[in-house]
Amino acid sequence: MTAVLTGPGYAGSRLRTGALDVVRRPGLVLALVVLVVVISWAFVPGLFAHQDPITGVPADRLQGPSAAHLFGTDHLGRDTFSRVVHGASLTLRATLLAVLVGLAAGGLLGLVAGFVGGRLDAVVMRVVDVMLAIPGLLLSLAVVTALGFGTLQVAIAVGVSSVAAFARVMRAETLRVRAQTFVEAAHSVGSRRFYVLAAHVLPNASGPVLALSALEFGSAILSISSLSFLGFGAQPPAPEWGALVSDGRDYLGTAWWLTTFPGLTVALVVLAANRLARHLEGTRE
Amino acid sequence: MRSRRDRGLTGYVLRRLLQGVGVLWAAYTIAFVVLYLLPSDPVRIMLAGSGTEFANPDPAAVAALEAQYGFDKPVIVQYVTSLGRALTGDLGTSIQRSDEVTSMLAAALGHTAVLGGVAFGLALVGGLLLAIPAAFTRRPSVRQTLLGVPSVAVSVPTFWTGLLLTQVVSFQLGWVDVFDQHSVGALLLPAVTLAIPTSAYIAQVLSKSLLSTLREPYTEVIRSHGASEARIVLVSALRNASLPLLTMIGVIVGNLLAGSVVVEAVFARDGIGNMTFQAVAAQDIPVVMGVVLLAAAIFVVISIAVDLVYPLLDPRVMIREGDTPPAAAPIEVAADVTAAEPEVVRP
Amino acid sequence: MSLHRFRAASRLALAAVAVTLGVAACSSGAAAPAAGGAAGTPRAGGAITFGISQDPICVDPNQTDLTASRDIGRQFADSVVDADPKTGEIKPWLAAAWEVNPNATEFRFTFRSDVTFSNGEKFDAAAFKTFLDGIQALGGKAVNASTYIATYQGTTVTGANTATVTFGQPNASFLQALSTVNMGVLAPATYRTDPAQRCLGRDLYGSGPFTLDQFTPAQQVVLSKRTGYAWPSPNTRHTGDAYLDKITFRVVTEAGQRTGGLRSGSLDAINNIPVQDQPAIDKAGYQLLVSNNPGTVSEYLTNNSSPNLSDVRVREAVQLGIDNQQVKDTLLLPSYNLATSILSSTTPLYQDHSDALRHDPARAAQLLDEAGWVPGPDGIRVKDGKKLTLTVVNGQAGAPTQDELRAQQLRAIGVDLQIKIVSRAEMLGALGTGDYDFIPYGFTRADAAALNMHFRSSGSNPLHLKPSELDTYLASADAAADTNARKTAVDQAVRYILDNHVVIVFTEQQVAHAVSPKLHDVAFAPGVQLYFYDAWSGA
Repeated sequence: MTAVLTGPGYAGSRLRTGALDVVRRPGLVLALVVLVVVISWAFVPGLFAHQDPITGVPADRLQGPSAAHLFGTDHLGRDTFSRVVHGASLTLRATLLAVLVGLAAGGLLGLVAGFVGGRLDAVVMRVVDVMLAIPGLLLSLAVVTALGFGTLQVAIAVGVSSVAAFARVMRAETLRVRAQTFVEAAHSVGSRRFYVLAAHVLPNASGPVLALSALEFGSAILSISSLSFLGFGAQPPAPEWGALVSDGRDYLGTAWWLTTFPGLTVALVVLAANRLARHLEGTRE
Repeated sequence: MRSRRDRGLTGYVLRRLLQGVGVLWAAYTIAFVVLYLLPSDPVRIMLAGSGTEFANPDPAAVAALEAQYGFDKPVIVQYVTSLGRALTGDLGTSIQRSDEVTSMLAAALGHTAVLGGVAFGLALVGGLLLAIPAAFTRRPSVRQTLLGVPSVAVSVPTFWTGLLLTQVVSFQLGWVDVFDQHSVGALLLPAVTLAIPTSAYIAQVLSKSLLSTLREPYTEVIRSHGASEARIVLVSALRNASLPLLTMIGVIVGNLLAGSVVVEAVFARDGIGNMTFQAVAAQDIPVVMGVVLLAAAIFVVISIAVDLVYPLLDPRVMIREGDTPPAAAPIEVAADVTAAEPEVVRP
Repeated sequence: MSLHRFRAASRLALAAVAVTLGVAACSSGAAAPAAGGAAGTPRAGGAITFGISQDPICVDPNQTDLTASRDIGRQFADSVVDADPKTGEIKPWLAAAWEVNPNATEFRFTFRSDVTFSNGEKFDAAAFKTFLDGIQALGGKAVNASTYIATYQGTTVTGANTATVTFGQPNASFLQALSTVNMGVLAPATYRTDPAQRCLGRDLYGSGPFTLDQFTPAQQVVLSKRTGYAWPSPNTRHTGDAYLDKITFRVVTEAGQRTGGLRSGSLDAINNIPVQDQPAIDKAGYQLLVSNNPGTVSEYLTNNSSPNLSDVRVREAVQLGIDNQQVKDTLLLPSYNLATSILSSTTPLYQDHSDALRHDPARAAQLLDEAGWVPGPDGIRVKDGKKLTLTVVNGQAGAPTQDELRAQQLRAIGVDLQIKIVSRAEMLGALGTGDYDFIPYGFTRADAAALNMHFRSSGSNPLHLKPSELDTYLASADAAADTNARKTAVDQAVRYILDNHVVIVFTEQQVAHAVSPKLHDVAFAPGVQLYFYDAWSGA
């Protein structure tokens, strides 16, 4: 759903840096801060959370937020903050995998379709159209039905559902660049031609594709946590964010913190990723 | 002239329908390919679903079930057979529930349609309430705030919103009995949950096109004529701005359908979404397949309807004989509002 | 439920009942007249909503093996006989009298003549024959019921209300089997329909005090009172129609939602009480209906042929490493009993073997050291470069928090317990192929023969056991001529299972319901199913 919110006006994409931006775009800065923090969580969770995310102290179970347990503790006495911090790595890795699957498969499809053109292009794009006629989450669910449950399976499923979007953007870029780079390409043949084109397309397409990736990153976090929430994703006791919310729902009446904080984390990270995506595609409001 | 145009229209509709069938066939094939990667054994699922436990593996029963469902035949034969059946409206039998998928879908569709319909209405109202003030306000800070709301709304996981709403509105405040499927309140909570991301989507699209319409010179002219014309501006601007929205109804409805999986599961409501959730949990292939097909069919029907209605709303657009219909092109629709119009002739 | 209660019944009774690959299951034999404020006089009328945690999936009592479905089936299907909830003694119900030949191969019944099904058909000897023939025709689809009449040869109708059933082998437990919900009698017309349709509640007619109005899979089951009902079970408190007009079984899988619904008044009763909500439920004055299931305790089916678990020292270490008391204190209601045997204390022929079961992490570590598993860099033990990783394959819905806590406990002795959530089908697949280490299980049956379900090395052999004296013990228990001989054989089998750690055992299984104070006299039928015939709503 987020994919449609900010669409590709990709052509004008440029990254602007500089201290001025910081002043002019507090939202963007905040988003970057959130992302940097969360990515640090993923790489060095021990710096941020000192308690064991997997092994709890059953006697300390279901305690509300306090100085000792920022986000409270769960039904097995595990520190929820620690679980959220350690969960970042799992969630972000799954998300990254999902985006990479979409990027690689969709990018290749789009590149080949745009490059070869003609019948192949028509067929590929028809398939892409059909994939787009099936809502992403349903397509992911179908893939999960086939692959079984688990983080890896869910990541692949979510990636598959974004293949079509990547294919479309990549094809558009390929066509655009092909229209410009024919001189060099015209002098080459076969695989060499493809290589030349790819060499031209890839750097040119990086802007729009990067923006779409950032956008897909946000929606992939949402999709992955939704699927985990439904019980198809991370296996316990892995602290995947959606699974954390799901585990906490039995305690809605007694331990609100179990659902509230992980849910809030997901929302913030998606918001930050979307904000970054909007910046990358260079829209101005 | 008129008759020629009518003939063109009929041809167009026919081609469009034919293409729709093509999309459905392709969706069926994609779903079949995906679902037949399944590593586990459907017959076991069936026996598990009907409760047969491990001490009772009756090989004859297993063989009979395999034969009944055709799992003993090569995949290509299964594909052709099941496609043939699908053409006659037979989507097979649920592995888990031994009920016909078609009748399960039919029974569940009504509930989800009501939920989705209410959610769509709420989303439209919410979208308008955000987009109109954002477009008309003269204070940039207000505009920025209003335009910021949708990005927040789409970032919040629906399962989380649903749980919080249940907790607060139903359990803490006791305003709504979420278990009574027939009460308006019990419908409202999931509908609001489902509507939040959709309204954000609508608000974003509307405010974008409203703002660009308002920047056009003619509206400036009308505006300068006085406040009495403000309404005319609003109406005509909204009319223009709603056109891109119209082209996106297919995507919106698709997303509502997908969103219903989470929302109906959270609220334990009857409907397509919950059915899908149960089916995935039990790896009930025929049902998952049926839902995917249903979603594709809904998308196809809506996009045909939109193509036909569009010219009526936008007089600049008319369908020309021999036009290649735009097929299902949702990403263009979705991604870029201005590129979303069907291929048209501008006189 | 002490032992002597069952002795009286043991000559006749003792049958297989229920299987669930799940947390809760049902049983026959053990039961108690349950709860309900006795305050006030019963009044007719009222509709109640019962929040159940599990989708009934199939509401045909003959076909299902799920607790949720049997709680429903009891309301609209009567049985030929009933069992006394206290003594297990078989009592007349739809059958007025019976005679059994000495080797229990021939059963002659005389039936009541005033019983009708809710579709208007009469219950008579012919209907009885249709019923038994129908069960036989269901074969494997009648998960439990068909096994009760495995050597069924046929029923001869000898008069309008008399019939004789013959078996190829002695079937002493047949009468007890007939008392179960799985052997609920349905109308002849029902047996002419497609079994799959019956599962969905279509054309499903019984002679019970309620009729099945509607079943919406995964959503709800609606029952309404049948007027003119005049043949209640002898275990009931009143005669005539049931009191309640309507019972809705509403599937509410979320524990929090069940409690919330109970507290907000939209649900009148719930099953599977979430432990974290128990204080609130107590405080609000709700009645708790609790019963411990007979049969095996809650256990991990243990793959005795898996690479790591074929070594008995590893199995023993796992049992010693698990702290059942902590699991109970953290996640279970206080009313749960820790396992003191493979059989629960409510099972006939149960004996206390708690000396064989303890928590001793130090001894566990020592055993693992002896077995060559030495602590690795991350604390997980290693042998020949391989980590001591064991996988529990959990095929149930819901959060397997108990597995998580056990994993936590086992990590302390250097065992890495991985949890794998799969669909029920995949779990069954893993059982068959042996691609598992542990699978959570518990088999409910009011008979020590519950052990036959999974401890034999012949047949499907889910534990992947090698033939051993355990087979001999189980066989001699089946063939035992008297209760004492049987008891000795059962005890030998139990001891073998515990000493060789054939499975890992935890706590006894339990069903726990919470009922609003407005709802009175909800009872457990023999087999821990709920029975709403006497229930009435005071509001």
